[in-house]
Amino acid sequence: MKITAGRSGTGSLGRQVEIIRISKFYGNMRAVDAVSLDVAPGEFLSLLGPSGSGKTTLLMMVAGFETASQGMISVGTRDLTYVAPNERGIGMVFQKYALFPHMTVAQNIAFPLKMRKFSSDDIGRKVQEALALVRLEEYGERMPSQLSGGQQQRIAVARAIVFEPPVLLMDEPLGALDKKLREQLQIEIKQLQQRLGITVLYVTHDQEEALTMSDRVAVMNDGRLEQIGTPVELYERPGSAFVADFIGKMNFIDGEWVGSGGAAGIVRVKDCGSLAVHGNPRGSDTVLAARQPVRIAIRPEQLRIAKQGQGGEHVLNGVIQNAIFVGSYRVFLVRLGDESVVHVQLPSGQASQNLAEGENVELSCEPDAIHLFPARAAG
Amino acid sequence: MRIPKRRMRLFDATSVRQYSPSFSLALTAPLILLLIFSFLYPVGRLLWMSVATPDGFTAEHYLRVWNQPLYLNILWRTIQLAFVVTVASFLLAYPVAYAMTLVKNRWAAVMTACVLIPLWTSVLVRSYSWIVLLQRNGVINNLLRDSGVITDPLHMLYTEGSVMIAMTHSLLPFMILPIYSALNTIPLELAKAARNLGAGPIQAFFRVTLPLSLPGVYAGSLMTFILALGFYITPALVGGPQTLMMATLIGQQTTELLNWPFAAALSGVLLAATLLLVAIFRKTLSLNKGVQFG
Amino acid sequence: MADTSLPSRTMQLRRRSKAYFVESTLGPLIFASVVGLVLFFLVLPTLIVIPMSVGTASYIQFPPRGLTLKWYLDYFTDPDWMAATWFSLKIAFATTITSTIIGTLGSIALVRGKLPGKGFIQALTLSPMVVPHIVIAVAIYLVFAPVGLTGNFTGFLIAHTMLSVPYVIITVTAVLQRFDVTLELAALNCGASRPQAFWFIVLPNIMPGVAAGAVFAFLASFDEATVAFFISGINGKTITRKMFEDIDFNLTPIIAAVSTVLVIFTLVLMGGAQFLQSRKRN
Repeated sequence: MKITAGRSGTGSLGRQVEIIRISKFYGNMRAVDAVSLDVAPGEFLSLLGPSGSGKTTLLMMVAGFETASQGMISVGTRDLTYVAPNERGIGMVFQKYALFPHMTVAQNIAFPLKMRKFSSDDIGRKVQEALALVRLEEYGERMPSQLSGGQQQRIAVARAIVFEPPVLLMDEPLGALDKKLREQLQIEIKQLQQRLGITVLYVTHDQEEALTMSDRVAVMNDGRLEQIGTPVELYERPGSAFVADFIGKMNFIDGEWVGSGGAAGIVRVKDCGSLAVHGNPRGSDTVLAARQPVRIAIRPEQLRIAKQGQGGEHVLNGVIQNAIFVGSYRVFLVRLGDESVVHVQLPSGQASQNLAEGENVELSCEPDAIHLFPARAAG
Repeated sequence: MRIPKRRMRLFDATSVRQYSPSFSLALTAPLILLLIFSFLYPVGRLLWMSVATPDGFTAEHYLRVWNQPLYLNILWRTIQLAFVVTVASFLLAYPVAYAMTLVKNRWAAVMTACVLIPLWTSVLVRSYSWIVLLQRNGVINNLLRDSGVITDPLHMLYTEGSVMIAMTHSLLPFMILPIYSALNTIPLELAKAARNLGAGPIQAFFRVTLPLSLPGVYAGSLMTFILALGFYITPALVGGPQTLMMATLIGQQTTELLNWPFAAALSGVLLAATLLLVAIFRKTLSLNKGVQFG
Repeated sequence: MADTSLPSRTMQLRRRSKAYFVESTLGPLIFASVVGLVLFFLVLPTLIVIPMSVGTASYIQFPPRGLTLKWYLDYFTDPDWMAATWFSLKIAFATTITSTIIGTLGSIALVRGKLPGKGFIQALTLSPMVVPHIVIAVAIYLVFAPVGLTGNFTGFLIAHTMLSVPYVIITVTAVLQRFDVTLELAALNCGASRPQAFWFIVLPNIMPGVAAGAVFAFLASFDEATVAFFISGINGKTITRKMFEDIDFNLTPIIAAVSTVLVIFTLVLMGGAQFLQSRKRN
């Protein structure tokens, strides 16, 4: 499910965020390693990665809760690198909501305005507007403990945007919620962001969430920025094996390079057959030598299954190990000649219905849909 | 237009979760000053007095404690009494702590109140009560005589016995609460499992429950013993001239005899004994259930 | 309590045995009696002063024959007793304020601050609880007497604050450690400065611990007997010192009346504090 990024929203609060060669060291450990990225005004950018990838640390540095060891952070034209966290003027939503338990909902939302010395009339008005934005108008006098998780999260969002900040930071805000609620809130947050035109930096480890909500996604691994691009770019043209594996499902098959140089060639997979591919491996400019080991990656839905003998010239031979009915599609686990198992996804229809477990099949794929990567380093 | 970079301010830290050293020091300054001026310096001065003379250092006051049988007796009596009180407290405290784990909420609250009330009662009030109870014509003697059990009043007050009773009473809560706390951490199922496997109730208690509650027993015993060593008010009011303890001796030396260096030496001995026990307490108690700082 | 988890043949045999009788009836009865006796022993001294304070006889008489409130009247009209009571209350209130403030500030630094020698400071703050009061009393007298700090308000305030502060630190550090730091970060993010974040967000949420510490500090000062004995003077005498003197030299039922008043006052204070704490938790 992808929320289409609509035309630019009615609001224009957002400013540009520039992160220039930001690093954070803890002794010898590089939590964040020379990360640079720009977020356009009003853009929704996700920081995606596994735990320990440095995405949260990076967000904390933008918020001011960690001081960068090197580099610069700026919002609009303002250099924020050494500014105290309470003077940055950026909104933030925390993972566990961090609503003040001793204050009512309205007082929570009013707090940033109170700190900025707004008049009480203004405060009252803006709090009501914020409550209306998250559709919780009647909840002003409740205490946070009386709200459900989803409601608390919306109040946290309301508090973060009530003073109309140019940038909103979100640290895995939906992690504690169940799936249905998560999906509902994803839509709401996205719509809110578009309406206000606010720039959002969103940290998550859930790649589906990142793909769903973001204008662009920055994938981080081990403190470094692996790749940044639109969800479509990342999905269809992953720049490294890590990104290919992290985003969506991916099959990895080891093989060796055969055939003429140039734009096309053939990868032979031991005991299985061969597939035709295009081009050079991602992340490498060298021309491949004959018999050089390579790794190919194919999305499960790009593979085609044919009965034995009907596959075509370049196919991989295998046996259907399991056929799993998932609902709108079927997944076939196919064991290839070299004992590796490949996932193939086909829509539930006649074509997939005829394939049974134990059958010998041939797998093929469009050359353009095959991603080529350097062989995995030994060891 | 770019605003030039700002230096970090004095009170910032590299991580916002911890306050900077200078700010932390400012917060603790009143506390440290208070403790130095009103605690460290006076106690230090006192101990200094126990060894210092115009001509240099001397051990004569400590030697006096060691050599004179009178003072050794007092020291020994203090330790002995503290030990007896600790054992008596344990024997009385354990059943109560055990019972507190068995009863339901309302009764547990009542029992807890009974344990806390003596804690919250001033030591003067308690001492007065013991005098009222144990006097020759006190409450207990009157009751016993009126009901014909005895004809002559019992001599209970101003003896070692009365001191022991009053001290046990004061220290009982310090034994009950840690044992109760330890017993509470033992899952109920363990004793039941032992019973199911064939153990009698007494066996189940001695081989399962008691050993598992030992950390609490240990903590309570040590705390009781340490406190018992330093008792002053109670022995002074409820004890007699035969029951002089270390604390009352120190008081006597200062207020009546004005022999400060000797009083200082006695204080040093008492302090050393207490600190030794505290060290044992911390070392042998592997689970430190005490206060922990962040 | 019959144990129904054993096989029935065993149960039959057990029912007939004397051991079973002991175990199911006599045993628990003895146990309950022992526990009851100990509990009675615990509360007896506190409660006995109440009937003693209303008897007409000026010697000890139990049960009291004749009821009178004259001992209470004597207490409230005696200038010495009232002076001592007032003095103790003054000191206790002042000590509560100073030790709560000093202790809370210190606790913040101990839990959330970066301090060199934190272990040493922790040990130092708790050591007044470990050192026997007689040693502290004698030492303080030694140092305070020459500079005129005995027998007056200031000297007592300093000494009692030192003795009360550990209680505040224990309760406040406990509640601070349970406090979620993220709330403070959220406050900063909302634009609050450090002091503002502390005042508006941290303090209201640690108030139960601070209040508990304050109550303990009050009681520690009000009930304190040993140090008070040594540094009381003619003009500055605490109620504990006065009681000590009178118990030694002037044992009258006024002391029972004073004791009853103290007991009721303390019980109301502590009971109220407990009640408030359990209310807040719900």
